[in-house]
Amino acid sequence: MLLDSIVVTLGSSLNLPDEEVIKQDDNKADDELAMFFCGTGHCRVKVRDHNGREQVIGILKEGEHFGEIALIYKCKRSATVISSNYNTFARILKPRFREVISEFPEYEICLKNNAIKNYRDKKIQFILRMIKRVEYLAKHDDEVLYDLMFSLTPKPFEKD
Amino acid sequence: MENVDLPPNLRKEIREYFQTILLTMQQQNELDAFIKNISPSLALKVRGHMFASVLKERNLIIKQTQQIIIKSSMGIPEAIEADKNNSSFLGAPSSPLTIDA
Repeated sequence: MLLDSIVVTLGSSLNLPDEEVIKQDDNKADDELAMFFCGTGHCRVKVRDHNGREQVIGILKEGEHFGEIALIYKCKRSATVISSNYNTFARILKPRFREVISEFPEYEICLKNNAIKNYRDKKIQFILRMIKRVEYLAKHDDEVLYDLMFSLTPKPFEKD
Repeated sequence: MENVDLPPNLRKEIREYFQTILLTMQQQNELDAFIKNISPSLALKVRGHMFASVLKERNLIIKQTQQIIIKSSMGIPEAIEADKNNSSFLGAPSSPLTIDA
């Protein structure tokens, strides 16, 4: 089953308090990219919004996952995750993750559904609002908009 | 710490922090070495023991996916319908989720 397939691919890592596990906008090579599961400890999720303000948007507890967005959508890291205390993480590297997904495509769908349902921080809301201003795109479902959103490369421009 | 004249309480806190870090790092290194030195099948069991229960009990997405997989394999219409609705995510009409009669 899915759980067995995931467990056999997992590696482990220990992170110290206040250590960055992943960093927003990081763009690592495929073989270094990983999705993480909290084994023990808590960590906090921070997102820097379109104004450059960083906010804690959530706390991750034992059993919860993070880092899947970059693997699913092939984009940069969408958030920063910092360990709040001594954390043991299980991590699955991208090549292994793709193998699991090819065996259980339902897992990718559930991960995407979860992202669409729960990942609604200010930055995401801002980009979605921007996309929906385009009349043609406004008609599409969130699944399409999320695919599009994570494939966009942000480019800031200085004020006059 | 002496050079910057830190107060005793802060020095104590820093010392404890370093001690804990060194200890936990050592534990992690020991675990890594332990897993490398045992056979792959035993390493699998160790990792399974470390993470399987926490993922099984607390990761909702894995739970949810397993339920969908079970329902799909049993041919329960609700699951099939849900899968069909979701298959657009993959953008592939012939994806494994679309169950054809």
